[in-house]
Amino acid sequence: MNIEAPTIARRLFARLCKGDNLLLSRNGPDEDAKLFQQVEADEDKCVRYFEVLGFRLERSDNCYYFTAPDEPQVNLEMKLERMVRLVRLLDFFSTHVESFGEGQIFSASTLAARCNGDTKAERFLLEIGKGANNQERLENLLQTMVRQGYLSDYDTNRQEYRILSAINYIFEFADRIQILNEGTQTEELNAKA
Amino acid sequence: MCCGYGANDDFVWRLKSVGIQQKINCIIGDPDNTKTAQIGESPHTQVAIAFCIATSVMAGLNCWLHLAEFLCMRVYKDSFFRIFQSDIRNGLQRFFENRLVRVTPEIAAELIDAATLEKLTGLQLVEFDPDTGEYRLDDRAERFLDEMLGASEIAQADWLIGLLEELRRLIEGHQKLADTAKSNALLRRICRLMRTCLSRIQRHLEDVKTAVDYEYRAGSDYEIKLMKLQWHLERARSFGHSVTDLNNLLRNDAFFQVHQEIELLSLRSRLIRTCGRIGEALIDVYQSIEEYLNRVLREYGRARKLIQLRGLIERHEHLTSTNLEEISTKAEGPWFREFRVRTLLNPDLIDSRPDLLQRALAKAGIGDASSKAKRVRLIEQPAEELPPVIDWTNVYEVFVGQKQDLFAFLTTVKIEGRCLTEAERVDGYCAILSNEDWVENLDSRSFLVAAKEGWEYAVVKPPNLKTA
Repeated sequence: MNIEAPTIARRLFARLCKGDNLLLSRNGPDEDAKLFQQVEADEDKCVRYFEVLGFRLERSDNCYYFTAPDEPQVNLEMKLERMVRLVRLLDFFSTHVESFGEGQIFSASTLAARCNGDTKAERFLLEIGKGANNQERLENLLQTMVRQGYLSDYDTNRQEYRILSAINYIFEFADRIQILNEGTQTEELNAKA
Repeated sequence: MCCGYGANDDFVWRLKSVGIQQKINCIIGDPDNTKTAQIGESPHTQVAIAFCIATSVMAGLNCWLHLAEFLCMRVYKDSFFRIFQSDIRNGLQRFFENRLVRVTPEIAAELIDAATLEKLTGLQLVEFDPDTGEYRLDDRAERFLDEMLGASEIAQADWLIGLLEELRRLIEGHQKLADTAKSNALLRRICRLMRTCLSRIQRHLEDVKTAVDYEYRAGSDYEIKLMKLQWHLERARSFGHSVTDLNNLLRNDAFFQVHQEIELLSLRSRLIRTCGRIGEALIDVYQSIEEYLNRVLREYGRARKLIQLRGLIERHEHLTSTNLEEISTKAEGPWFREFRVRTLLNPDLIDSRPDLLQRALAKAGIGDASSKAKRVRLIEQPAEELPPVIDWTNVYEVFVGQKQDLFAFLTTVKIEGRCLTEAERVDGYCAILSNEDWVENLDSRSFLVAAKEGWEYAVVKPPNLKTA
């Protein structure tokens, strides 16, 4: 079987398998954005090439990542835990960052100010972030998200962050969640009205 | 369709607007569009309602949206004019509000007192045109107020409607006049209006685009965003209609067929071309507004769902009331499992030692980045011939489970079809010994461990080594 190896294969593999940042965003740093365009142009070739090697190159909305079918699965309990964490994280950011979504820029200091006095936000930071106070916990949380490739530093002096396209990958999970009795409740409310 | 916005487009956009209106009504909790009746009951807004109903009937728009727009803009304008001195504030505001109508000295006297009018004229905020006998705001002052009053105000297309009416009036006047001198004056005025139109029409389009982007990105509640985007949609539509009217006037009116002056011809052809361009660009504007509306709706729905989910999680009802478990079962990707290169080495080593990463990449069969595209031959092997793969996640169990000498065992291990090299064997051996988990199990191993100058190492006798 002859498979043509795309020129960017090595760079792509190294980029998506190294460190904590396992997502390639369209609006990422310059190198990422350039690589994204190259992958997009050669997407079919890359998908076929890596499929033979046992990796699936998946595309979400404006981002790429690898999955491997034969990789040992995290157990269901762990997955559920991560899903709950995902929901809580998105809820936290959607509540406190206006128009939280791809491409948006927000300031950590504004976010911290909005969290102050908000018991729900403080409890969330206490449970999910590491640090002595809320400020530290929030910083750690944001830095973790930067390392994982969901945010990027936009202006370090002003502590501004930019939301990368990779966020769409986790948004997709949130969109797939269905609240089972939601339809019934709406119908009941409509009937009452 | 010359301007790209004709009867068919209009029909399509009416349908789209109705759809968007229904969506907005659903979002703001008014699926049956009953807000008109509720607001009409308030005694404080009766005057505004009367105004609203009149304009709504005329324009065929939703009364509720007009009322909200009217009230919001009124407040915004009032607060803005406070930057001016108190004695000229009201007069200036009245002139600005009446900038599209002809303000004769009689009307001006009704709007403000003579002293204020004189002051405004003296400050060059208002000018008197002796030719037409009209007062009007100074062009620079009008532009400044237009810009300062923000995107919502700028996005209105009323100026084009007013300008079209004026153009029609002048053409009609010109046709009725027998006096050559007066008709020449009217012709000059028509050319002036056409030049104004030419310079302003493109700017207006840019203003609409900016206003739409601004309203989408500006931090406000979802409902307000939806409402403002809906205003822009209506305004862009009204602008599109006016552009079509202008285009029809320029193409079909007998006046432009009869008069063949160079300046008029040149202006007419330029305006027709501009109308065509604007019409096409407006289609893009409509599409971007609809895309923004859809995005806002999606984000709004998501935010509501997340709030509900948080409540369910806090009450520990998320497993019974949602399909979270089902989604988690199928979930894949970086959030749910850590993908790593398959190698015997610790993942930390890969991150901190690029040379090892290069080696791992080479083993994965991936060539140098700088090389050109090349063809690789991948031979499919029968399942039983596939080399054993030891993943980093289970390497510890593998080594703990082995019963013979560790160093000797390493010589027998095959990684992806090949034996370890001497260097790798030593590297791996040292890495394993320095692993804290492994150290706890050292007592049960058959080899000795010694420490020297802070370094811990295994004592292995080469002559006794077993080879594969």
